[in-house]
Amino acid sequence: MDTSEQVQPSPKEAAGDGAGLAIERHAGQISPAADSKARAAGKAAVPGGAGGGTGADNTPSKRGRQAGQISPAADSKARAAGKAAVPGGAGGGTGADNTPSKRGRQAGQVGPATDSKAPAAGKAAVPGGAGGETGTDNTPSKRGRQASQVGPAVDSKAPAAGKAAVPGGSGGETGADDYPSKRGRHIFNSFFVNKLIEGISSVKKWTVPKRLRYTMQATPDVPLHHMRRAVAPVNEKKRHWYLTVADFEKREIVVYDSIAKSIEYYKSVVAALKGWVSSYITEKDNLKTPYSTAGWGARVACCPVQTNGTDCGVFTIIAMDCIVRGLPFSHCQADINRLRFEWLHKLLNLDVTWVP
Amino acid sequence: MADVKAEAKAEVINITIKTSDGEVAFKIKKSTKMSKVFAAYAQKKGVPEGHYRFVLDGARIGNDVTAAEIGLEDGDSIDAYVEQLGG
Repeated sequence: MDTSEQVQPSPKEAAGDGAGLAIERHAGQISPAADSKARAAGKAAVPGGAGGGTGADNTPSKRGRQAGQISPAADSKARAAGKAAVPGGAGGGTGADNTPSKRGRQAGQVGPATDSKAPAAGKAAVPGGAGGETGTDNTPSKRGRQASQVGPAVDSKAPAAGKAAVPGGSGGETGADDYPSKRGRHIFNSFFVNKLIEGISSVKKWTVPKRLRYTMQATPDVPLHHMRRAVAPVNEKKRHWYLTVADFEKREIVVYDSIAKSIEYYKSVVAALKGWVSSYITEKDNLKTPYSTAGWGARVACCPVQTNGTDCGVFTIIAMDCIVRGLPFSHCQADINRLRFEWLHKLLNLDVTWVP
Repeated sequence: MADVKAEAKAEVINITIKTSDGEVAFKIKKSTKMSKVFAAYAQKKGVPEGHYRFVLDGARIGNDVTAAEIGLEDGDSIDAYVEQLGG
């Protein structure tokens, strides 16, 4: 996870997705709250400053609007650009018209608002600023809108290049990808890794669009390696839970374990996941020679640890939640009892939309 | 007419339920509720219903759906897992 995700928390409502269900919301920490049909992003580039606030209309039939901290909420018909070139100041926000039949508008902090039909490249130089995460439109049939902190507002249909020159800061996740509906992550169920270890052929069909649709993945037709990462919880010999992440952006397998061991300990799981990555990409991209994962790293991430022998499951869930939302870890053992109940209630009240 | 024929043909399918220690074959109608299949499987294994979790290519199968609804086709196999615990 890059540091751009860790500047500060986004409003809780902004991110709605739990266990890979088709609740079409996903928001990075700095970035956006999103309308369930479309999304926009508000962001902030604030050296040590405050983030952009977002507000989103979640009613599909209405237009979503967002406003950053300083910048204007835009009229849905007017193109809006939020500009804030304030050293130490707050970020700009976007106003976006989410009605499919209309054009989307974006406003980057420093960057341009672009028409959704036009290719766009945003450039920004923010000393000490962190990169922004982007929000993308997940509905393939619609135009996406994105705005990232330092840069480019990019229409998902238009080829775009986002550049961010950020001295001392981490790069922005631009989401510049020519795939129409790039999405943040895929979440496997808890049986995936163990099944994968039995043999790669046994999970071949797990990722076909038909099955992804059935498991209510919001974007079943997006190849997983066009996403940022795939997340898979692992149950180890029915005794322990931990989390693995295949990061397609940074090309590495990351282990999050509340009872962490050295990477050597996880080598069979890491090898299996790399094998899956290779086989998946080879097949999806019709490569003549198998995709090589030689350049892929593997590491055990630094994450909160448990001090007992009963809470690994909760730690795993929380870690997963933080990762898919791009939030920093802020929990520790003392919070677990509270979080356990919070999650119990969250799960009991899951707001799930069935997408057949 | 052709549609009716095709439908009648496709009605009965063969599926298998797999665990790590073997598999059991079932012949079912596409309109069969999966709960019926699961109950039969549990009985055969001598365990209470609900002991297994049934997963089709990564997708957990509910009790109240029919084979047709989840897109089960002839020759498909379902994975049966037992509860996963950890601490």
